[in-house]
Amino acid sequence: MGRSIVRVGLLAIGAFVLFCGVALAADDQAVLGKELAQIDNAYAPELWDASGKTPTGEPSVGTESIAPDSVPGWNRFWFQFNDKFYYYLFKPVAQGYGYVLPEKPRTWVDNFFHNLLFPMRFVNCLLQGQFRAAGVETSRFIGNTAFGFGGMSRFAYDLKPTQPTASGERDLGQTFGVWGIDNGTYLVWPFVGPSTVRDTFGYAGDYFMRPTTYLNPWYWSMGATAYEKLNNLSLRIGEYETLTESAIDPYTAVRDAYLRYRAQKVKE
Amino acid sequence: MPSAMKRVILSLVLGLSLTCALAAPALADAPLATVKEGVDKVIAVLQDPQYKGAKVIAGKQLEALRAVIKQYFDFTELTARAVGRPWLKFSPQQQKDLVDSFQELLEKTYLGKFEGYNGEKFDYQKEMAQGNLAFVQSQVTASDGKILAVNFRLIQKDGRWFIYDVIGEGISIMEIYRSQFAQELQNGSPDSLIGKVRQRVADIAAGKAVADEKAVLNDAAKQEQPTAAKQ
Repeated sequence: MGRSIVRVGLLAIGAFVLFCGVALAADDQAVLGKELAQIDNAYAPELWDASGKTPTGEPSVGTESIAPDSVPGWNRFWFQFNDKFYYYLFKPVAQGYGYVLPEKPRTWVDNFFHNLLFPMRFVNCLLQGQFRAAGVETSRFIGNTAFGFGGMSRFAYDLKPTQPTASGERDLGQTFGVWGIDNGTYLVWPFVGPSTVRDTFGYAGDYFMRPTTYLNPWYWSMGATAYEKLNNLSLRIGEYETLTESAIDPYTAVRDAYLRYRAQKVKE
Repeated sequence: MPSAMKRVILSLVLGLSLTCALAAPALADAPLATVKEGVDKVIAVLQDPQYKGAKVIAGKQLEALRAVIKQYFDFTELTARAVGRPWLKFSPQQQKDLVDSFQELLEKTYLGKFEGYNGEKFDYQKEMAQGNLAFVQSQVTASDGKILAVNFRLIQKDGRWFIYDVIGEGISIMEIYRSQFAQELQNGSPDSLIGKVRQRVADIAAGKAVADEKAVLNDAAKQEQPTAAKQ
């Protein structure tokens, strides 16, 4: 009896070391890719020569080259709608929830849902040809699920103190981007928020890779998703406010931030 | 807003808050060293027991930080590059007015919202320099364990390096404002742009915009959970 416990323990440690190694090796690759992407846009082009009077090079570009805003009327309407929805319903509810439940358990819940989305990240890693990243995701999923209380602890993420992690966010819209599919127009959806034609199709595809989709009956599935969003927001209140308040046109600020962020994610 | 976007904003708030608040007279002569020195000293100021218990950075602490901003962060460069080519058509007075009001706006929103140092760890990766421009990459481990890419753009002036842009998760402050400025300049004039920025600052000062509820909420959470959530 005692010996079998020791054997199981050793086996577990062995498996653990193995996937830590995989995670480390794979991350090097991810870091390299990220660096290359950043060097590309490291230097802002010089706008004028040393005298500060004569323009040089191309004029600076906005986000039209990433995705045009072809339906500004629709987009601005739903942006306003989402903004009101956020301030009058979503945010107060999240705040109330935040008062009731301390930050730590909310972080656990957040980690749990992140861990649960593993299938989506894994499939998209594969579709993007990032096999090493897929390995890291798998290792982390196993590690966090088995030894991190079903994913509530992110300990497998903390194993490499100096190594940056491969991006935790992978989705089908990004995959389409990697394949060279254009964004189409910028679109804002009610409740969902900023998107593009490409990302909308991606979002729809990802729906099938979210485990919460398969909860039965439907209201459990919806409830789980709503709760995930609510819990996440309770940890992030203030960030949306900062972006929109600091803007002279909040709509444009959110649009540009979204498009540039997505473009960066595709480059990675 | 998708949760992905939140990472961007968090990293921008962190990056800009810390660099806006760079507070030290000692001058470093390399880009990475400049950033590191500044951030380290800001963290020291933020942790200064003198200001303990403050919910947000305000009063003396804010003044102390602002007084030395110009030593490290070049708001003029940031503003000029955000405006782009039309900057050359601004009169010197218009340039100055826009820089001043834009700086105030960024301070009020990013710095004013910053709740203080929560143990975020800066890990400087590398620096790249090309002529008088440089780029410094860092990775910030936030208090909740998330890793954010925070990069800095620097420019050399009079033998010194100044930070003029912060890039969080691929989005730079400069770029966020570029389209907004261009839009306003297309429909209006430099003066109307300055007016808009000033109006925004006034709105925030008047409390028309959202209050600092985040600080209050997080304080409540911290009283129950004294240690920052790390897992």
